[in-house]
Amino acid sequence: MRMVSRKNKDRVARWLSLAITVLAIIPLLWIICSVVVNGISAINLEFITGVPAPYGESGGGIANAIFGTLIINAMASIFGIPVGILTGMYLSEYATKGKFSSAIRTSVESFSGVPSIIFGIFAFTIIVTNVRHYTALAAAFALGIMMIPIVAKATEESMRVVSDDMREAAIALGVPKWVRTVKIVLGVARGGVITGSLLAFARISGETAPLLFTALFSFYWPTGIDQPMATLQVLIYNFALSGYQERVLQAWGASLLLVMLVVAINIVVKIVTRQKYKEGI
Amino acid sequence: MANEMEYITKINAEIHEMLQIVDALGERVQNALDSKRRGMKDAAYEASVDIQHREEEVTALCVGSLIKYQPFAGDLRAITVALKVSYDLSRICRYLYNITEVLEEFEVGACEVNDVSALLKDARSMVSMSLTAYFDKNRSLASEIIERDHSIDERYRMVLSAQRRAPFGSGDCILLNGLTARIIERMADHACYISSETAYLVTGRRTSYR
Amino acid sequence: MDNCTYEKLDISGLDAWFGDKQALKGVSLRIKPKTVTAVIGPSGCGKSTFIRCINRMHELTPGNRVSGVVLLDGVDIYKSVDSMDVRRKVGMVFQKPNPFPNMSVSDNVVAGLKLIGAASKKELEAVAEENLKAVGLWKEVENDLKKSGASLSGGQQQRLCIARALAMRPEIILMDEPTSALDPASTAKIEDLVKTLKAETTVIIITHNVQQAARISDMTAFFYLGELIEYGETRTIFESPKSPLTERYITGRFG
Repeated sequence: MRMVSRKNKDRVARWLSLAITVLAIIPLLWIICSVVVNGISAINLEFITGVPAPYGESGGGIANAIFGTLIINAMASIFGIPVGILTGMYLSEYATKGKFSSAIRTSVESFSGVPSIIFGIFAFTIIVTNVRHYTALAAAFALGIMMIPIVAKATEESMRVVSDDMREAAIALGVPKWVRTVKIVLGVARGGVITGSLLAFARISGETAPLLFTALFSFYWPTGIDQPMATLQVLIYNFALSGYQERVLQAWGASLLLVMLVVAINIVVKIVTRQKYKEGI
Repeated sequence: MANEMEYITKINAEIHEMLQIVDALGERVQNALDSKRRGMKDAAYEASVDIQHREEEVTALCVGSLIKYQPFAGDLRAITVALKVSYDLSRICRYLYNITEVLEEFEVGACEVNDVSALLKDARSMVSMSLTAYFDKNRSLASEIIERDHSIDERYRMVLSAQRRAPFGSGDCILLNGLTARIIERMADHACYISSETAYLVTGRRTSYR
Repeated sequence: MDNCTYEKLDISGLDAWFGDKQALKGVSLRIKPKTVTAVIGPSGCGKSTFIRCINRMHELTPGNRVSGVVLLDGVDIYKSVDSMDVRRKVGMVFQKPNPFPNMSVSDNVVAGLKLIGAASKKELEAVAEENLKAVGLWKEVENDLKKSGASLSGGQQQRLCIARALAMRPEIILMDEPTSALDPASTAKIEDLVKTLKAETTVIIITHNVQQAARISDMTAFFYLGELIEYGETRTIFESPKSPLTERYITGRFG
């Protein structure tokens, strides 16, 4: 008798958890579906290659925003990823129990929890207010700073799990510490570092708030990295609120592209991680 | 050594049984020699065959233990020494059988055997003592036995020269005394070998005797 | 120095601490060149600490201390030599095979030379081949030189690690239980290798397997509670050790 009741309990628990999971997934699927359904009709050659049409005219595209997002993300990565890796390397290999090290560790940890708008305001205050105009550089700066804690944490953690056997092997060969750290420990941990960097890249690809204060928007092709620049995020924000039916549709299309970018990065991360385990690290 | 390994206990139990057979045979051969009686040969032969089998068994046990336990230090010495002691015992048994052969071979009824009889008694006691020293790992007793070998050698030579000088002795008696004395001298040598192995077992150093 | 008194390694009064805990107490011994010395003793007796003092790896952990004199070819490695140079002269092979997984088989062999930038690319290739041959791995990996070092079997990895240590042309090779993670066949290969190594270099090997020590070493050192209890020719130690402690250890009567 008891066996049966235990089996029943087991069955109830299984169905209950399945039901709740489905409940949680529904909104997610809903979002993806509406983005795909609404966005797919907006996508055509002109949409991908053209710049936005002036107000009142139909047609036009969002190529300048795609390009802008890529430029700003690239600049943010050039700044954020190396600094993040160096920070992670410091935390993993050089940090002591002293005050300086713990200050760095605490700030890295709390930085990842700071709302993104704060980074936007920060970049606005120290760059935009000084040069007196919106600039893509400020956006790259804000997003770059946002990448640092993510990359640093990923680097630190994947370097930390590198077995001490590797360090000892290098020490026993008489290899100086910085060479050991860069060529051996970072080399062995590179899978985790790449993963962290890609995830940081995906994270900043979705950020809008810091861009509103910094790169703002532009209806034209980028003219220079110190100028205002269109991005997919801000374009979606602007067009969705514009009230024009066609612009709203284009915002859906831009959303679809953005989602595809993020999903693509996540797929690359999956592949990179799988390769890492295949190597048997 | 604090505690003896089980396999060594087993090997030594086997050697102890060999000793008992050799002792019993020794006593009967002594009686036969003292009373110049015949008819011991077959029994002695059987005993020596038995001892040979047992020696082979000890060898098998020792080799088996070497393979199984790959012993070192005291344990290793215990096994190499056990191999030699069992061989020496089988040789001693063979010599006792040889004495019965000599008794069978010649006309010995009228012979004077007091000297060789005493020699045999001494050699037998050396054999028992050497085994006691071996089982007890008694180094001083072992060296005592080695010392006694000189007196056995001396008395062996005395028997020989007495026989050479005996004017009225029959050829049979001369042969009996000479051969038996020679055999007993060899027996005593093996008792000494056992003792020198015992010394090696205890100290780990070989004082070459053999 | 004339030949009869020549020592590769001359250690006297070596003490080592982990913080307050003394791990080695006044260890003195001399090791002749081109010999294999086995270091045996129960776990925690200071064996590893001892060999880590010879390539100055003990001092790496904060709080660890070493005192005493360690002369390598007559030169005090704690006074007159940089610790990195010591480690290039005194190679080490660890318990667990630890090839660099981010490097190919051939790069692993020359990792030391490559990382300190001591040779050209052509030289490195030759060094890799020579040392893979020396450890008997060349035939097995000839076609997989570009594969990751981690793709080899455990026994192959350990031989790769020995090749990596050999490539530095060390005066001494320290081995910390190099076969304890390997199967019998791989162990036999490593043991054969150790015996051939002494034609070129001096080997000090820690082992928990006393039979192994008896098989491969010329000299044996027995450590107990941080002290060197007995040191001498392997045959003597295993046939008739002087110390009852050594006797109890090698006959399996410890603990």
